[in-house]
Amino acid sequence: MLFSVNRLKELGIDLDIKTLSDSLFQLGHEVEEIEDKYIDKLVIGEVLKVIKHPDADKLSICDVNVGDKTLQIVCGASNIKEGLKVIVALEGAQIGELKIAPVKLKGVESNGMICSLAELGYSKDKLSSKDYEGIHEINEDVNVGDNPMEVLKLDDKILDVFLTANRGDCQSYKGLYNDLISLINYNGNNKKLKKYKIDADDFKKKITLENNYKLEVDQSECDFFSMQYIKDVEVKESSWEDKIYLLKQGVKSQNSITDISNKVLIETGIPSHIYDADKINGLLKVCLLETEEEFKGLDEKEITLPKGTLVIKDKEKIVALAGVMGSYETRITSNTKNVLVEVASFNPKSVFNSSKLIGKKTDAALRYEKSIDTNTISLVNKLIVNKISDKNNNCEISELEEVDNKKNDKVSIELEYKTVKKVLGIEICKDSIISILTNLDFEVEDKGDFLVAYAPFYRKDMEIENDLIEEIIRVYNIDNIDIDGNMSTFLTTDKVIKDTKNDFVKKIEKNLLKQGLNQLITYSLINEKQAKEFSKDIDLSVELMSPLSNEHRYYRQSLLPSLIDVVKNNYSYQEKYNTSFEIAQTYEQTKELKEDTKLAIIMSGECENYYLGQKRKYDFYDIKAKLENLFSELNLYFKLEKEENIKELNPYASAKIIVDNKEIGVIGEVVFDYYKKMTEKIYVLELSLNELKDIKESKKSTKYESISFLPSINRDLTIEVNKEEEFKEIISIFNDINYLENYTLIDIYDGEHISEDKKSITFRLKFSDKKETLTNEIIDIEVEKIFNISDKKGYVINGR
Amino acid sequence: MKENLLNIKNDFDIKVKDIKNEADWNLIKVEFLGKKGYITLALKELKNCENKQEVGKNIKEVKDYIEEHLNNLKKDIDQEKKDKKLKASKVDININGRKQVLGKQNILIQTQREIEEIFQNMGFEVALGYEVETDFHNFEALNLGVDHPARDMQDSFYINPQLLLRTHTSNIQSRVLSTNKNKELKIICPGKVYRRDDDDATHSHQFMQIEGLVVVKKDSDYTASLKDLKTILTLFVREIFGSDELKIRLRPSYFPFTEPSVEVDVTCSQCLGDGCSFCKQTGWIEVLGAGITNPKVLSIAGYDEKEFTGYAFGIGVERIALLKHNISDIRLIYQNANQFIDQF
Repeated sequence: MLFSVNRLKELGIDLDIKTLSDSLFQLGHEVEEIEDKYIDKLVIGEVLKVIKHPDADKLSICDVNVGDKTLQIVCGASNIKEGLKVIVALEGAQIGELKIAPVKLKGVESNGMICSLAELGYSKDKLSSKDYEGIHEINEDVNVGDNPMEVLKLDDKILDVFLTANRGDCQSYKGLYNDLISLINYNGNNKKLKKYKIDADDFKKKITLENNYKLEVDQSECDFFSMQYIKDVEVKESSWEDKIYLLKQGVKSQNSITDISNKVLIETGIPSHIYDADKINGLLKVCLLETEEEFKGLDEKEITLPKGTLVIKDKEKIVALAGVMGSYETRITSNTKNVLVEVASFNPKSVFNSSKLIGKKTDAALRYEKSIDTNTISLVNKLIVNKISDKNNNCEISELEEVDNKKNDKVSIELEYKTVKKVLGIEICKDSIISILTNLDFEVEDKGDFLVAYAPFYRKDMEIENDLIEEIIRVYNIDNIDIDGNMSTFLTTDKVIKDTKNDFVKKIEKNLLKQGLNQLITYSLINEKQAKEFSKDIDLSVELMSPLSNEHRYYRQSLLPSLIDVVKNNYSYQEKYNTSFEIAQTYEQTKELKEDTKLAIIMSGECENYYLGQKRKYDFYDIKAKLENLFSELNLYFKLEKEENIKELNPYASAKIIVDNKEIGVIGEVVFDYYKKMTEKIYVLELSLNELKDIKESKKSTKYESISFLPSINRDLTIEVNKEEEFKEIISIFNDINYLENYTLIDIYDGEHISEDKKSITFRLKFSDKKETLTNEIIDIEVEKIFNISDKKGYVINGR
Repeated sequence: MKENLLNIKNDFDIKVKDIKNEADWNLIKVEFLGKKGYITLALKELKNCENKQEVGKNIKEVKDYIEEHLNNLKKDIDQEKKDKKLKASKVDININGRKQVLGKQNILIQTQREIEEIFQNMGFEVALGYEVETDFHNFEALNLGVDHPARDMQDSFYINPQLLLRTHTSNIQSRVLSTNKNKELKIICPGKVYRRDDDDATHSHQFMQIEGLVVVKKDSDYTASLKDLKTILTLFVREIFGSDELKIRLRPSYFPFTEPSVEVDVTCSQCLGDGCSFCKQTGWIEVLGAGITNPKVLSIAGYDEKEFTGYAFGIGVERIALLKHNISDIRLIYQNANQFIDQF
């Protein structure tokens, strides 16, 4: 909320700006911004003569008396006229970005600038179009040559103070002032500042009318409602004083009646509403809508209010969305003659719901949602009525119609003195505690070891012991808590977390980083097109009720669409290789909501680790190698089985990942439809880490097997087989071969010198034994066995 | 004989100059010192000489002279040979190494892991939870009832009236508390959270949070006061930003799940508190929120709030990463451009 330093000063707070904002900070009200409204080298001038600019239609050449001299100034405003008193920026004044200096405008010398309010730094949407487009016409009694900063009260500093959600009571000068003086009075030894007083002990005018409007109030929704009729008022433009007050608060001035309500709201925190009484038929009725109804508010937008909305009606129509805004029809206009003043307290929840309907928080709603100080409502009503009657000598006021159902129970909280030290870690003496609470308007009873504090009625946030402790430390100054030099804070507790998921994920992360893959983090919320990719069914996707945009509507079932997007985007910045992975949660909504943490890998483009010259593109076997290396570290084994049913994957180059007879993921080449503009192929894999973790945990740790230092024998073997022959089939020739420690695939060849339907495969076989040194004779026997099996399968052994 | 020896020496002096490599050297050695070499022959002739002693001495002088020369020469030849061999391996030290590519971790995850480690070293355990969470664990259990005004502070993504994307990782706090009733705890809860914010340079609808929670018995030796909280957070910021100069400042604030609540500012690392454009001349940067666990939260979870107390804090991981690495736009993190990832 915005606060004017001058207004606080008027109320009695005489602190320099640094001390003021530090004090607010200490109390928990952060000053987010300080706007200095002061502008140097402004003067009040009088327009003596206006003639048209010979070469520009919209410009006028003016002679302006600024006291000690008369200046020629070229002005573009349409409301310029002789005799006006205006604000003149002299040479050297800084107006926004513009530094005023003598210039020639279309050939005519101009020695200053006549200013509009917009040019003095008041935002366009808070000004009437007249004030925004035209220069400011001064109607107040001021002298030529005066400094407008002083005489028009323009000189001020505006604090933008962030108020926390629990401190609804501080959303007014009254509230903030009272909080501030608790600190000032606690620290100061001079005379104490008095609490803010709403100066309206009684009506200034005699009640001369009966109130002919009836009141009907649903008391569960409204615990206080007051209404008063005022006859014969005049609706005009507000006085400069009111206007500039509101402008500094960031509120647009409306008219002399409505502005009173707004100003009182800012001062006291109590919202009110003033209706054109002639537009109200018979009564005001506070009720919940029984059926949905149309409503057009002051903002001129028409909305449908659902059943159950808290409204105020007269005999026939809704006249206000209670606590939020009045209806357009019953608003104050320049023709309004008689008004109805309403000050009430509404159910915060209902106001909160109504705010949602209109999609914004009005100033009134902001107060109601956090509960208002109902104890001051009567006073505020008097204040408003008095302010109206002050300005309308001939008006008459009616008797007050009131429904009062408010409860005035004070909250009492007990606090053991020793608890203060426990919670804060520092000692605060009893006297200080009592003094602080008293300054904060609490009634305190000291009971020896503990105290009982009765919270002021407006402190709706006071419920428990810790609330009091927070109050104490706010005023005592939280900065008085030092850190513990011994750092004895290293307390130990029992280990309670059995969840090892984070460690498992970190292990996988580390392995893949070692393998040269980058770890990414992408958004979990994706669009519909993405949600349809790599998912079983988009209907199983978790969908948001009210997404911010369609780009982020579904919680993903697969990480792959996001990773493919990253690769595509990088590709568009000429980054043509990408080897990355992501680990993240996914959700699937079947009968139950199922969470799975998935690992996805993506590889595309040129191998980066090829050195100086030699280049190669990533292929299926590169991504499979990542999986092999990962499983090797986990001491687990996987096998691949053909997968032809995933529409995003090439059926000739994709597979299911099977571990322990369980399908836990897929691997393969992405069908090019999904990255049309790219020339590089994309390979992906995705698997369930929840499943993998379960499998890993079910395995016992690896046991040592004896190793042999006896020499081994290597034999190379090249066989020619049909091109379509699968590797799984080919290697079956090594089943049941003794001493064969392992075989390595060295080469696959299907080029020249070999018939078109064949391929030639070379293995290196390694034979070894743990007990005896092998001889070539022994190995020959084993190799012969391989030859025989190959013959049966129709394989041709080269060089046999 | 004397003349003969002089000739041998002169002859050697001439021939030795022609030695260019090991082969030449071998030939000369054989020619002069070999079985049929001049020196050997001269020694054989010694027996025919009259003054053997003197001649013998002369021969030895010449022999020593030749041997010494040849040995020195051999050393040079060997050295040259070695040099040649070494030179064959000459490299250009400025050409890039033949690297094994290592993966880079998005700076956000790096920062997350760093923060986890700092707290793990202080004895915290890591607890994880669900991103899609019940309204109960995300709000109600944390003292944010259905009508709590603070709920509008964090406008959330609902899936249905009971389920939403968690708005903080305090949902883990709620779950861990309710499954470990009346036990002392010291946990951190990292994870992704979601709020209905439009994405811009400083806001993101998805971000990463690390929540910390300590719960202790009120009558134990250990306390969990604001002072302890300030201490542990001071240790944390010093560790994560790598400077023992840093201080933290607390400011009273409001969160429904803590009471008292504080915002935590840390000394601006750019100006060390003097005030600069980075910290808007305040000398401080806001980094996290914290407070004493609201007794209501403990009691909702089934703890005896009269016997237990604790504190909690919530760290925005993006905020730390952005500050620490001078990153100007949060969206860069989620964009994952190679050029961005490769920098850290």
